[in-house]
Amino acid sequence: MAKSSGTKPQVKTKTSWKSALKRDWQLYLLLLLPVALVIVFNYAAYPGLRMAFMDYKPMKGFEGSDWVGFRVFQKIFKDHDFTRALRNSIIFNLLDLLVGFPMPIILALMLNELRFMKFKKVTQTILYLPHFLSWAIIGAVAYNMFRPATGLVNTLLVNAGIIEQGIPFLNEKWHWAVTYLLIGVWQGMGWGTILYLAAITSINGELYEACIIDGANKWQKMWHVTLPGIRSTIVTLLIMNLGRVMGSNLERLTAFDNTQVRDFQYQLAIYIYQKGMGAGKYAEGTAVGLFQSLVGVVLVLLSDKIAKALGEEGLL
Amino acid sequence: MKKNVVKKMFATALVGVMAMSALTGCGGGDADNSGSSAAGSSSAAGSSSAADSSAAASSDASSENTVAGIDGFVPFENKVTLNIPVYQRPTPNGAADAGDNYWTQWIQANFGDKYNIEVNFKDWVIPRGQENEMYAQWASVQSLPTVCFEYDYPDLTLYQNEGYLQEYDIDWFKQIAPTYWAAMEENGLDQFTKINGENVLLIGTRPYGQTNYQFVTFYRKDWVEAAGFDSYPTDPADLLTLYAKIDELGLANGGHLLGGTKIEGNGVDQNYAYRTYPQDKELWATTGDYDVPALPTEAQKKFLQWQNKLYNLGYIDPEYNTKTADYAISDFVSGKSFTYSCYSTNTIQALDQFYEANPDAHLGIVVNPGPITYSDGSCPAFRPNGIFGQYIGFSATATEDEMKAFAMYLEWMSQPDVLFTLQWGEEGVNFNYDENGSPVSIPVADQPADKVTGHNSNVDMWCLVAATASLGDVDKDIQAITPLGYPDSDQFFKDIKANYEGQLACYDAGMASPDCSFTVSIAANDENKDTLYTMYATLRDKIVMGSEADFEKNYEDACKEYLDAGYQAIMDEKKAAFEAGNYVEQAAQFFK
Repeated sequence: MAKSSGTKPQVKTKTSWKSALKRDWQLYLLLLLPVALVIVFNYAAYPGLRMAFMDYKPMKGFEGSDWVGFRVFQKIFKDHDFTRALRNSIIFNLLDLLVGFPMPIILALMLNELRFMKFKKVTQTILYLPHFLSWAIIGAVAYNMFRPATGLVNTLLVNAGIIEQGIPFLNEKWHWAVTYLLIGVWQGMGWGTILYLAAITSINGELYEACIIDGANKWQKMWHVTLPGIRSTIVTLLIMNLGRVMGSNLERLTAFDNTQVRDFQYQLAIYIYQKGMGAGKYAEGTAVGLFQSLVGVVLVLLSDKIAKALGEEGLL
Repeated sequence: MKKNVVKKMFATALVGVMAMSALTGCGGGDADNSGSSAAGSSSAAGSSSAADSSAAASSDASSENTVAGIDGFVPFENKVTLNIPVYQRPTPNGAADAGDNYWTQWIQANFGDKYNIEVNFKDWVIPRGQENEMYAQWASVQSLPTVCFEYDYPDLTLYQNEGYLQEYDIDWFKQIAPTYWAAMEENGLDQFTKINGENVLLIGTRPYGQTNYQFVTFYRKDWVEAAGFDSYPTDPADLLTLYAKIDELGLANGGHLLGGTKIEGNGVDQNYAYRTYPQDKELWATTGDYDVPALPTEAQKKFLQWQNKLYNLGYIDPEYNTKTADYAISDFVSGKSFTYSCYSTNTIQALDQFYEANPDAHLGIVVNPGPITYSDGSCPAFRPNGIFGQYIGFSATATEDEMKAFAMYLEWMSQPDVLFTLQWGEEGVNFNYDENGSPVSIPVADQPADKVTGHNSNVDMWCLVAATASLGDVDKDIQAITPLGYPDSDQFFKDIKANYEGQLACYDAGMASPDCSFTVSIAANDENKDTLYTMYATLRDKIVMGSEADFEKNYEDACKEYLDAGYQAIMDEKKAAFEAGNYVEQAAQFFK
């Protein structure tokens, strides 16, 4: 029989790291590998940033190579290829954001409304699948499907009498831009719904019940309950995506490369790979990488500030 | 409040660090510690001492021997590892591992084990075409193989400029590898060992360097005959008539009779047939090599104009810029294209497939007609292979023992019996003798899978000694590369022989001159060539795929962009080097 002490029970609000470790050691163990990867591949690479300020010669190493201050950056900023790559990266990433960011939200809202569970699960699985295809596969399939004269899509359209001549989906730069962006949306939108669907499940069901009592229809429930319920998730992901505006995906760009679209396809990832790895100019590659990262950080901080100014929680 | 600020600062710093770190994986880590000393000890200042002392260098082996060459070899006391790169090429399924196969093991058993040397290929496999990247990556961790080698001279000047190479002493080398050196002397290669004044190169030989007859273009002889021609017309005007007739008859089964695949890298769009001979020597030196396409030259303009015409006539696939080399084979095999080009060997997989799919078809090989001028001013000039085989340099990280082991390796491989075995394999397994006593390769598919001589006849190992196999007689050598067992094999032999003779006549007439080799690094070339490769492909496709009416404008715009992007800088630097006399020319050059 338990004794009643008669005093107010003490609620322990603080946990020492030792007891936390003892309690959740399995979780910390799981964390060990990702942390090690981050340390090895990200932090341990930091000394390499010196290269951006050196006339780096691989055979001389860091000790033997000369410091040149900002000369590498000056050279890059004067490089016509760099300005072209920078312009394309920013434009295409903003377009990617504009077209690609809302799609997972819309899709998540639609999936959330599906009531036939088997259909919902099958649909979700089909939508996730493109995320697991490599860009090399997607690129090869896309080229075969969208060739102007012999591609499946154009052949069907011509045979159906809808068009007279094949559309150069991937062979002309403006068509390429649209096709490239839409394929990007198709590839990523299914996977992008996961976070939003998870956020939707955390919305209090009583809010929906109250809505129904007030006579709200599906659209109104979505607009007044679901969307506000996932607003913080949307803002967080938007801030993170803004940080990637300077980045670019080498694999995706390479998969959709051809000589007629390089006015648009030539982006920073290509620039870094060609100049840095291809031509062995590691200093230039590192300098561009550093520039990209710094601009990315500034964009994240800026968007975080704007989000907070608008009354959102922000990221930091 | 204060705690919140610290938390925010920490979070901000963490986000910054994470974002920055995402793209900074190029760091050398601690490579500078080990690397700088390695580089310092073996390059530049270190190199000469290494070379000078090499004769006495060897810890143990043949330094005590006064006998030159292989007879003087004795095993190393302590095992020496010889790190030798080997090319990995696209090969059919089931091809042996380039770095570890029956023949690498044969080398180990017959050379390595004998002299206590571990011959290591497996850690130095280079995907063909990625030589610069691979050497740069190895250099970045100060871990180069014992030697760096390439078929293209500008690459070696780049490696020398980047400090990958070290000098060697010729007398030391001659003592260990007299046979190899004698071959260099005999072919005049011993004059080309210096880059930037330093003695760094060893050079393999290249038989029949005045020609490139091993590279052949097959054409549909049955189509030529159906179109009413007696033979393959070489004059551009006649060719156009032939193409029009083939098109009219619908022989290409709805395909584009010249097919076409995307172009990339160096060596593309060669303009030798569109130059004016005898050449202007300065023009030859500044724009005459094929390392970076010479877009702003009259010869290149003529070439592109011809391509533009063919494209607009519908003979070139309008989707060629998105198609890889595989399409050239499939189009030819499926009877949709008129020609197919490749290096000739006794067995060619594309021909196997072609005759299987087109049992009634007949093929011929395009023959160089010799020194004539065509109706449009072009001619059958071409780029001869030149006398240079593989350019080899000791890497800056090679130790004295490794250098010595490599010199021994070259000498051993230069022995006729060793070279023959590596080139042809084993009798009854990889080849058989014909009635004339010449070796004839057994088709790769019929060789035992574990002993196959590579799908490239082991050339990526013996290329250090000679670029092509030679039996010392041109007829035998042509027979050795003639596709055998096909309905048109007899014709192939005749065509290859005629092509060889035509090329030789062009060479003698001065219509085939090897490229200029500069003895100093052309920094602008190293700096800009990768950008220009990509840019050239883009610009030439715009020109070729544009309308004929827009040709002049497209070409002018492209030239301006190309010159600004670095080609002008290359020409200027080459001109300065040319005027300073920092270049070499092979024999039999013909200039204005």
